[in-house]
Amino acid sequence: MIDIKCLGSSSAGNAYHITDGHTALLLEAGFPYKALQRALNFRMSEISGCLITHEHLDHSKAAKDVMKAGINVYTSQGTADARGLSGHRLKIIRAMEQFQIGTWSILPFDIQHDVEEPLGFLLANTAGDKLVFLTDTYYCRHRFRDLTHIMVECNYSMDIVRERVASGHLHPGQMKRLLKSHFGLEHVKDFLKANDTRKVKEIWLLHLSDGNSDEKRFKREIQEVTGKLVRVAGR
Amino acid sequence: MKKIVLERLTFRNFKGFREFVLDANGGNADAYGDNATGKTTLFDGFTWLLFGKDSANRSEQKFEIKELDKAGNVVRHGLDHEVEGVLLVNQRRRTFRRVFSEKWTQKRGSATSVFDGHTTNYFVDGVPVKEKEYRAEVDALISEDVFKLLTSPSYFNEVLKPEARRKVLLEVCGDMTDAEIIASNKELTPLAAILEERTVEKHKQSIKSALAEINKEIKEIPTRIDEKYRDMPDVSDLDAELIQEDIETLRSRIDAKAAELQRIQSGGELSAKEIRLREINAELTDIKHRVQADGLQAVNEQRERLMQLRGEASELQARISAGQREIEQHKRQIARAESQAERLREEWHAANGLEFPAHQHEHGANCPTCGQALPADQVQAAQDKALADFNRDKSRRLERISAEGKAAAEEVRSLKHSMFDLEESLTALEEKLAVKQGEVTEAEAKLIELQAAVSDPADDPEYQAKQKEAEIVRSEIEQLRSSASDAASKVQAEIRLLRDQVSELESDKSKIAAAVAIENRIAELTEQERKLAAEYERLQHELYLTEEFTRTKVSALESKINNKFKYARFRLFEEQLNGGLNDVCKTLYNGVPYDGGLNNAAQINVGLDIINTLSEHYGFSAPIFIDNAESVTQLIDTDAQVIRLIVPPTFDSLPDETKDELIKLHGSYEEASAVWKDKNKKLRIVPHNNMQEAI
Repeated sequence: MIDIKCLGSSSAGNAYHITDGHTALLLEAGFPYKALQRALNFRMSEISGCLITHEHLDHSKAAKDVMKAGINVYTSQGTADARGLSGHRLKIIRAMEQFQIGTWSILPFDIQHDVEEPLGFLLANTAGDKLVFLTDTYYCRHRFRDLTHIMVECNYSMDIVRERVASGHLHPGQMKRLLKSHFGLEHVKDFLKANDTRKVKEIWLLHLSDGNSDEKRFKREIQEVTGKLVRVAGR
Repeated sequence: MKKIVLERLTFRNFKGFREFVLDANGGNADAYGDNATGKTTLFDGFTWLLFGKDSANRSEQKFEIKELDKAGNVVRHGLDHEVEGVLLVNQRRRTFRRVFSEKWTQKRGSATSVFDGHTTNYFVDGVPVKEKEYRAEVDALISEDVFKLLTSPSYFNEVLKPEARRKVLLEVCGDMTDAEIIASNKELTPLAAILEERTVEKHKQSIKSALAEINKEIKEIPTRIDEKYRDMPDVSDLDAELIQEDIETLRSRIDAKAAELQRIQSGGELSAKEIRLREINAELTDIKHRVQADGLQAVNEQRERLMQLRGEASELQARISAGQREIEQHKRQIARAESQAERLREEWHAANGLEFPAHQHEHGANCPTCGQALPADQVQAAQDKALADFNRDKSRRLERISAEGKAAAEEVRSLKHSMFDLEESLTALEEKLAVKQGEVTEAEAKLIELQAAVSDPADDPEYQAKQKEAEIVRSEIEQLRSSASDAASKVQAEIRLLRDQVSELESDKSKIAAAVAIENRIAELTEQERKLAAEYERLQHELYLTEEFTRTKVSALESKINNKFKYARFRLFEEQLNGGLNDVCKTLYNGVPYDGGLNNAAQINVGLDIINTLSEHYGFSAPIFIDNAESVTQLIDTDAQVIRLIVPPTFDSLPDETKDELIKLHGSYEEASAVWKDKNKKLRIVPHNNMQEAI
């Protein structure tokens, strides 16, 4: 049984605590270390590893401090180089090369974002749960079987973005970047349709944009598409 | 509420006042006068009267109580300097008087008096009292500290140190215990168990030092791990199992080589060859024996027979020789016996031919003993007897010689007889010997014949092969003897080579072992780092709790304190850059800090607000002296008596209607201005029930 706790899911910072009751992991470390510590009630030391998808600070801010706290950080060489990470706590991982942390088998896979070597993660545990973690990508070329948990970015909706550009609230350049770096509602729907979701227990929508999203609508639409339990990660 | 009201304060020879009366008439009063006209002296006099110090807390030794000229010298000596105050204490009139005088004594026999220090005299309600009594009376009225707090609006904010200010405030609002604060915030619950007997502050200090300690340790670990990684040999292409196998193989080869060397060095090879050679020789003999077995037996038998024959022949020969020796002996015995017999014959003849000799005694017939001549008969008889003896001896002698002759003849005859026998048997033996010798000759010929008939093993191919092998071994032995040292050094070189290979492998093996040890150490350090980090986090949590505690305490205390005041607000804690909290005590008014830009008027009003709250707290009110009161347009309300010390405005800054009125009164602007100026050169007291006179 996977327990997912969202410590923050926005451009202000991303971090998720997931555990299967045996091995606790931190997905992303996009807050000051102290904030992470406080959010986890000073139980950081119980975390077995921290996975980081890419170099942006809202995903990797505390990486160094996490390592300093004796926790291994798993990320790509590209991310490590961009953030200047090094040391014995840094574990470089590569897309499609599976590794193990405690009871979790983790398969990193490539995603599409405007940074060097970003990764998504497929996590499977010994209890048969299978979780995919997908954020800051505008597209996913992989398909997953037997998923039980989906954590996927759902940043914007095309119509909202267009509307805001039209009304002058959003710069067209920003829109261009957005579409090339983040996962929008329409893509999420396609992604969910393209994958076998029969075993899925929970779908988490992550990283909703402040201006370009609508929490209630997104949740409803994903519910309509999947018929599954849908949660929207809190700020 | 105890209330002290100043009715009248009378100064004599005090700080430039010759004689001055502050008559407040029991109510508020204002003191007007330009700078240096003595406004502050009024407050100084009041504090000196009660406590012997001026308003800046200096004793009369430190401030100049006496009037000075422009050069700073005392104008007149020998004066009494005094202040008398009439106070209404809860409607009861009390009079206090303090007189400070120079003491001059005239010594006996001296015309002039000599200055001998100062003396102070005290009077309470007109009665002279001792200093101690006076002080007790004042103390009964009010404590000096509280008096200062309650009489000057600036005292709390400008004179008191922050620490003392906090103390006063906490005293006023009542401090909170740690337990109360922990109970007020659910998040702090774990703190109660953590603290045990310590205070939060103490605990915080211990956490901080523990954190610093652990942090130091944590910081060192990555460096230590890096060092270990740097020390780690590259063993990526080494396989411990393969290396071990190789080492074992090489070792067994070395062992074999060492044994070979040992053999070479101890001549083992050589002796092995020699043994082999002996074996071959034995084998050769065997073959030879096998090949010659029948012939040889015949030869042997013949040889035995020959030997026997020879033995028999030589026995015969020996018997012949013994016989011959016996014959010779007999011959010699016969010869000896014959010559004996001859000698006996001659002896017989000789003896037979002997005649009794006629003898004449030449020597006399005298007795040889007595020398007397012997009787003639006796001489005859003697002669007869001598002849008889002679004949008897002759006969006997002949007899004996004859017997002996006969015995000797007999011996010769017997000897000759046995010699004959001997010669007879000797002849027989010689005949026998001749026969035997014939037999021997015959056997010898037969033996030679038989020997010649034994076959030659050299013709046997097996025997030839063995001989060849023996030849080879022999030459090998020869060669080995000459080349043992070469072989040894060759094997030694091989062993060295193998050993080098082993040591190379061993070094690889030890590299792997070192790498494993280093990896283990790194794992240990990594684990240690994790443990330390967990401990660090636990402490951080505790620190966070103590800080949360302080924050809770701060907000609880500050709101509690601020509730006590109308205008003044207090900041008791200040967040530091590192997130910690510092104890401070800052007074604020409308968010502006007292010592950080608050204007004079607001400072005074905040001071009054504080005095109001403190008055209520101490249950006491005393006259408040407000310096620079001209800067305040609107003083806040206070129940206490207020003495305002005011620098009057210049004529020009007076309101126009006031100016006009004064110009009307004095006839001209110049006149009015001059009167105004002149008026303010002197201190004047205006009780509030007579405010009109102020203008």
